[in-house]
Amino acid sequence: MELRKRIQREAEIPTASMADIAFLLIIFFMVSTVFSNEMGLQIILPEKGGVVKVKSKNIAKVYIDKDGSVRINGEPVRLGDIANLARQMLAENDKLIFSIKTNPDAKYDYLIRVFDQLRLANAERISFAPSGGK
Amino acid sequence: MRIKFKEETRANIPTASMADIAFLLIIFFMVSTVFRAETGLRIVLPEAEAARKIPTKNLSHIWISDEGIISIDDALVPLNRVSYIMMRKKEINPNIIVSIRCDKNAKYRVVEGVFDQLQDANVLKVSLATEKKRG
Repeated sequence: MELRKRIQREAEIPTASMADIAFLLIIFFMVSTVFSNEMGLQIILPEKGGVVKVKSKNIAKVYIDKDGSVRINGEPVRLGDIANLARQMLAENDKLIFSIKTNPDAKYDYLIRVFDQLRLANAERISFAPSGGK
Repeated sequence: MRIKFKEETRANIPTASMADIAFLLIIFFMVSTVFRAETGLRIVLPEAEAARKIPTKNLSHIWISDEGIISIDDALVPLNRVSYIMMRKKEINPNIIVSIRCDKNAKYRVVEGVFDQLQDANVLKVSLATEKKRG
């Protein structure tokens, strides 16, 4: 009797399309990835109740009115000039604190613009004065 | 004289490692993907030149719409509840930084109220989200 030789079959996994699948997944993740690029102005709020007395000559009062007009120490200032003016004031007195008082009905945008200008002038000490309009 | 037949060499690009490269890239994108967890409110951020990048670590958002509606974690919140919510967030993560995403047409009154609530909750690290102004 003749025994048939068993043919040994090789197991094979087709890998040709694996790269396709992988690239498909890549494209999915590439499209759905949102690299977070949140921008913002960082501030640190003062602690509640911690009232610090500051000499009045070290304070520059910035007032933002309802219509977006800005006054520094009572004098009207154009928005674009704030940075330069603040730089000058800081050069005269480096302990200067800018106290921003905003009309409660003023737009947030005005505050940000003024705040931005002060930051551009490298003003480190900026405080938000209570607007008194609760 | 015998002429040797020229052997034809076949051009061959090795594709065996292509899948490896592809998977490597997949893993990179999988790790770096952050699915937007919250939708927030529809707002237009103000622009600022001095805007810096905010680290996303420890960040929590407060959304304020132009009508003064406040939203935290996709829930509308009345102003006087902000302090309580932030206090609980601070208990979970003491290094919390709050990003205030406020519409540029919102009234300052609301923002001031939120500042006040944050101070009550002793959450003092705040960043005012803006768009970077170009030019």
